[in-house]
Amino acid sequence: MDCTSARLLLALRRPGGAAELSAEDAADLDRHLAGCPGCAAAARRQDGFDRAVAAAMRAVPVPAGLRERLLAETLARRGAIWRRTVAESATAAALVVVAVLAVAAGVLQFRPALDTDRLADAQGQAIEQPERAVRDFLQAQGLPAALPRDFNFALLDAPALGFEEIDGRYVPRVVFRLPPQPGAARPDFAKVYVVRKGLFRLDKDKFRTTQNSFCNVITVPDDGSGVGYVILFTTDTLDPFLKPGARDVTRADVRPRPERPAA
Amino acid sequence: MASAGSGVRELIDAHYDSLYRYAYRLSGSSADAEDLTQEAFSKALARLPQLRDPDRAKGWLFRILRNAYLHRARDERRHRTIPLDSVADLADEAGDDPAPEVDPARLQEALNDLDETFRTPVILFYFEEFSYREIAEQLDLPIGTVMSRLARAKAYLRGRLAPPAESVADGPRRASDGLH
Repeated sequence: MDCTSARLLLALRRPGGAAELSAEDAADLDRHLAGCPGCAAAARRQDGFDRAVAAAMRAVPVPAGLRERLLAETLARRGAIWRRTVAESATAAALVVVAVLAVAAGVLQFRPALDTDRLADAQGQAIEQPERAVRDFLQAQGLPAALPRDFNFALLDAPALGFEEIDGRYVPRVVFRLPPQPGAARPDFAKVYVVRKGLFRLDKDKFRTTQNSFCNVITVPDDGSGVGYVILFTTDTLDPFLKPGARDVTRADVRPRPERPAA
Repeated sequence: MASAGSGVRELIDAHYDSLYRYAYRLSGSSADAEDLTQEAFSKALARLPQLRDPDRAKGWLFRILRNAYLHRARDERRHRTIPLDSVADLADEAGDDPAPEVDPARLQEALNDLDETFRTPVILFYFEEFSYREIAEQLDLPIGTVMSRLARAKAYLRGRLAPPAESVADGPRRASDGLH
């Protein structure tokens, strides 16, 4: 190693050591310094100067109580940060609640108002013009306006128009009720279910008595209109529910009904 | 670290004195040094989750403190520093004298006059004995740039701090003359 290389390596040495030099470079430098008085003197000067500067650099008195002040201030800031985090979280939660309430209020605000006048009018129409009420009801459901028999609409029951859940499906139905008969347990009624095509499979047009009940059933399959009908009634024939003079034609398989219990 | 509280306490206990000394050498003022140390710990507290390797806490804290110092220095623009363009990289031919004593106050005066880009690496080099590579990482500089700046800053300090008789006769004094 020549003196130029040695001086370059000396410049890389740290105070008190050769930590920045590779072991090989450090060994080469030491060998050169051992045989070169000029470079050895330069190394001593540099090491001495570096040690002196390093000592002076570290000679900074630390103020008394600094650690305690730092701890107190930093921990106080930590508390402030924690409180701010809590406050921000609470604010965020409050904003979410407010937003939910606002949405809920909006939903409530924009619900359609219940028009009680229209409701009363409809009920009045059902009483005064029952046939029209039935027609309107069926048409409102997109169904044919006419029923499959010539029903006497004067017998339309008060809650006549509505839906019944059958096997999880809501089926429009119209209810007729006969005036109470003396000695009868309850008034006879007839329910006409309007069954959309595809909702249920209906038997062919027939009249039958159901087992273990007091009801007779007439099924009217879809005739191309997209709906079929099931008429369930408690009288022997459907005639009492039809208009005066009208007769039901589906009587083929009428069977004797069980005795009805006395009132 | 177990928690933010214990983590900060451990950081303060382990590093507050070296951090304060670093801040003092950077700023040249005990009041500024204490403020900077406090600011560094406060910022460290807020960023504690970023410290994934506790073994690197010291370098991390030093970097935070230097950034805080630079932020203040930019705001205050108070330093009138000396360019080192005329300082040689190597100025070491000063005879075979015994090691000089260096007055810490004179050292601080010399540091105060030194541009921060030279002051910081030389402080880190002498004071905390960071390796060249660690200094380069701290300053986001190539290691060659760090070594060059260190060489010039050391030459400048030698010119400012060497005994007058030696300085008159040798290169370092001539180099530092160009700074005034």
